[in-house]
Amino acid sequence: MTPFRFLVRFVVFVLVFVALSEAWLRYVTPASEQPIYRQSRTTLVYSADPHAARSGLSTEQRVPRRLATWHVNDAGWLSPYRYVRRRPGGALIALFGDSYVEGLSVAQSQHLDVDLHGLMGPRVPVYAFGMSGWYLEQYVATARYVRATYDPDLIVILVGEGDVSASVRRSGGFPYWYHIVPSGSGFREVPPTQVYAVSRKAALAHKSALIRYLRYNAHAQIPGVHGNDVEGAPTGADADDLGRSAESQTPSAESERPEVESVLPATRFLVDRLCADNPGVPIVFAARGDRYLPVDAVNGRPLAPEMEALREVCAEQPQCHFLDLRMPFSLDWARHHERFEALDGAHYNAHADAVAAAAIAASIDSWHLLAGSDASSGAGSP
Amino acid sequence: MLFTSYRYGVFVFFAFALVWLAARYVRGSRANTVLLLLLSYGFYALWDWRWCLLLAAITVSGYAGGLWLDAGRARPRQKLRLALLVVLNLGVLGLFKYFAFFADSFSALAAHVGIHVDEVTLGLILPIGISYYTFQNLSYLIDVYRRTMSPTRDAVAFAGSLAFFPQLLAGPITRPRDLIPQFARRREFDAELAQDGLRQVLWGLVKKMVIADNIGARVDVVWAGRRHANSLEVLLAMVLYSVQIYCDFSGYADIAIGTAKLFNVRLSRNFDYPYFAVGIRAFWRRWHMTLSSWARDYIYISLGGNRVSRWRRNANVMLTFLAIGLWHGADWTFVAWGALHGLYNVVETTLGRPRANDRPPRPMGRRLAVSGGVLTFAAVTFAWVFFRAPTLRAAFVFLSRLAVAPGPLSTYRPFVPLVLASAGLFTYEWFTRRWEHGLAVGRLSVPVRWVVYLTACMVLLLTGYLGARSGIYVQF
Repeated sequence: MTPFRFLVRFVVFVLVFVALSEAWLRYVTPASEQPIYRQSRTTLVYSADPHAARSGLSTEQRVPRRLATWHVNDAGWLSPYRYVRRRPGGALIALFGDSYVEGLSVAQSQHLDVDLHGLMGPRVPVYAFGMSGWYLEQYVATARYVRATYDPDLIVILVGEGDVSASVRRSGGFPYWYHIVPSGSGFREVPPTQVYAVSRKAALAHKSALIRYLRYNAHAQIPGVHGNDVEGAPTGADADDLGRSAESQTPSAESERPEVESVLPATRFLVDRLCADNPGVPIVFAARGDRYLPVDAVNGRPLAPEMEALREVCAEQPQCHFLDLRMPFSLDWARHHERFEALDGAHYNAHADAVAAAAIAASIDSWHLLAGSDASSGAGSP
Repeated sequence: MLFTSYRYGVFVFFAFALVWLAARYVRGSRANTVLLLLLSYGFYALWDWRWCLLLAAITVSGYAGGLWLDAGRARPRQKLRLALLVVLNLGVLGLFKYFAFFADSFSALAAHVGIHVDEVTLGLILPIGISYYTFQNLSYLIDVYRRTMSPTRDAVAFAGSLAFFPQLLAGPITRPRDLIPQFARRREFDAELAQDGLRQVLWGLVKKMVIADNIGARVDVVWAGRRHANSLEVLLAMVLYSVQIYCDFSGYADIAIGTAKLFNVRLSRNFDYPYFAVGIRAFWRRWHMTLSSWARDYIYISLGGNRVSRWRRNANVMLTFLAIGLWHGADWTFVAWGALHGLYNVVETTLGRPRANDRPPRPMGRRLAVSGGVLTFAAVTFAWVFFRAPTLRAAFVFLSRLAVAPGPLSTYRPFVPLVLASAGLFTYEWFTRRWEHGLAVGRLSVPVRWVVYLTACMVLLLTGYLGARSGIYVQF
């Protein structure tokens, strides 16, 4: 056999393998599907593209296991509801968050927004605005669009440590999202310098089950194909991991004070901005509980520095409320010993969503945050 | 460019095409060997182009040194020249690999006795593969001195054998007397060998990416949380690390040997199912065979070998294993690891009679052989703790957790697939232990072979660690 024939046989083998794996990952253990994202040229809001695939199956792990089927609504958000502007006198909760709120790991009927809506009652719609990788600056920027479009009378933001630290420590560099930069003695907000549109190559690659598998199930870096998102985007999850490694050393509140001080100015700037953009609208920052186990050591453990900074800033703003979700999670764990992480090990499962929703609903109720509207709450105690 | 990265696959694909195109279309029998040499330097330059200068300098010292040794007819003069060349090569290795270690150790020792010594650091980056090609070069020089081989005048063959890219990062340390002739002759394509090479690469990838890298991720977690680990976690991490390092290194060796076969070059075998060995000496005849035989031929025998008193022989064994330990890295953990293996050898030699092969004596019986094998594995596994530990202190902390009661069974769930995969691998290797490598299925019919290849590729795709973890032995 000549080297040329040898190479040809090798290439044929590779093609057969690609065809086999494509079929396998389509029909036997399906590769994960994710929405196609787009960015509006006018509002600069980054969301799922309702004109692309409206539903899909998200799977997780290397030998893919089914997680949930997702649906994109007309407005481009992963929600079963049709979003309409709040009626005068009515109630509307806008729920912001990252991938936890986007909820690709949980069936849509068990999403945090659906659970919260169920607890708040039929007269209180809950609209979810979740996007994987978002952090505090994105919530602030998207809240402006949401206020102008839907006029919510309550904003709930599910935040993790990474959401805050990604804002205040890794700002800049990602051209499609809002970010803040130091300016004089404070900060200023910088709008996106480019508008994101999925490239034709990425859209084509998205059709291949093998490429989707490598991207979403194996989390491999594929040269030239960034799937839906864009290389270099700082994500909350990165910083979240940093938070966990710091957390594992169980620091004391005193030792972390300098850390808190270092993130306070940017956190204050963003929260002030959010309050100014949404005058009179109560804002609840629900600080995520630990998605991992065990959670029984929460008592007495200080908040992570970023969360502590957020708590302190919230205390300065009468419009803002800080809800530490660690306690309800800790209580639930003590009571049921049921795990909180989804199959992907990185997000809430349906049970965690239910626990978080119950805690948020109870807090809204006890703080009378929807007192101005004609909604009646059916929330229980946390 | 790690062997498990797609870039390596692309590089090999184009190197293969270029080398064999050159063999066919370029005049001159050596064109493809020159091309292979250039590609090897290009491969090394992709890591850091400055390292190529070092490799070239070592190559020149070896090539010219060999001729220089041959020129000196008087034995004492040859000895002096060899000593100079050995000092030169070890000096370069020492400068890059051990300077910081000795400087740190000296300043720590001085501080211990109350003398303050400013630490001196040269800020040198350790060039990948330096230990491998320096030892190959030394092997050539000593062989020429011992007249077990003639010095080569073929500069291309010499440089090609030293820089040959598949063995540049993690060996095997193939002897120049085996390698240079392969580069000196005209290169012909051998389809059978190339096919077997691809099979061996695939087997190496399965071992490295499916077994070693997945185990590595879990073992790293236990080591990172060693202060809170319990006895069963530590025990599992110890056993799994034994599997990890074997699959990691032998997988890398398989990829290197398999890639070399694509270019019709045969590299030395580096592993012979070492965990089936009964006894430590037998283990070292099967583990990193090219390094252990190198140490035997050029250190142990140079020190007097077996032809000395028992005490001296034991001292030689200890020195040889300390050198093997230090070869792995400039750290006390490697010294401790080498010392442990030296001690095991001394104990085994003292307690048992020397045997020509590693088979247990007949009266020993299968049960005793199994016990011996298990004991060997346990001893080797214990020593790996020091090899894996970032510091000696960390190793003792890790081992101290063996006294902590095990946790609830549910905490060991992540270990289950890894233990099952390891057991599966060793069962498979037991039945295929007479094969050159785990996928030596060339005798099977083509459809069956394709099923085997496609299955292996699917296993790799669905369970292999695709994050391109570096090989453990690449750092040495």
